[in-house]
Amino acid sequence: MVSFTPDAYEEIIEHAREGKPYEICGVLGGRRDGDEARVEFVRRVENVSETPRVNYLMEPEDQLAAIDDVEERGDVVGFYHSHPEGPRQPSETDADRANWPRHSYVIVSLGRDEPFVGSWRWTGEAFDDEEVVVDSD
Amino acid sequence: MPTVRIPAVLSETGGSRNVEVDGDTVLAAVHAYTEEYGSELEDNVLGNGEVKEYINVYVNGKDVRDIDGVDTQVGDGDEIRIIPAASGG
Repeated sequence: MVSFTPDAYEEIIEHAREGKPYEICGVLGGRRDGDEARVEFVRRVENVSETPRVNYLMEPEDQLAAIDDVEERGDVVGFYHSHPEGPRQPSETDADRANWPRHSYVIVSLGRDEPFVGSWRWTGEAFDDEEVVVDSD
Repeated sequence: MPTVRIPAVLSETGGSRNVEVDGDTVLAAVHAYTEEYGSELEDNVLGNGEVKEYINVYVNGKDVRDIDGVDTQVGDGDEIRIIPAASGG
């Protein structure tokens, strides 16, 4: 399970909306303890993909700086990106390029309905769906 | 000696690691790391003698692709940092 503070949850949705029609991305910071993770803050990272409507590639120096920022305050819980027109699930490209085992890959899907936030942990071989909750505090 | 700094995802011990190794280039340092700790890091980071596409290697914060790649010179006090890129569709 991955839980979000309300501010962190709203931040990734707002980031996705601002970026539409392009994919946006960032680093999730907080605490991880085994299968349980809590996202307490997020750090936006520039998407430098040449096809940003359908792909994301974190700008390397910005990603490095973001990880440094996050590690000063806690753990790298994982990464987030958006699917401006869906789908809710990770794409084949997401699976092909995933290379942070034991970390959460969160997708903000906009599509036509209300934003959907899903999370999958990369095992090193596949994505495992994990529950997403928003803390009440 | 240079220092190799890697995140937990690249460490066979499951924890992040910051260790000093021998070597006067990035390639030599990775080889030295492999001799000490096993081949997992090298297998994850290098392919055909180059840094793999979705892996980023920095020396003192500068991307080695903008310097001399795996032949980038390193020395005492230099930090080699290896970070998997985050990307997808």
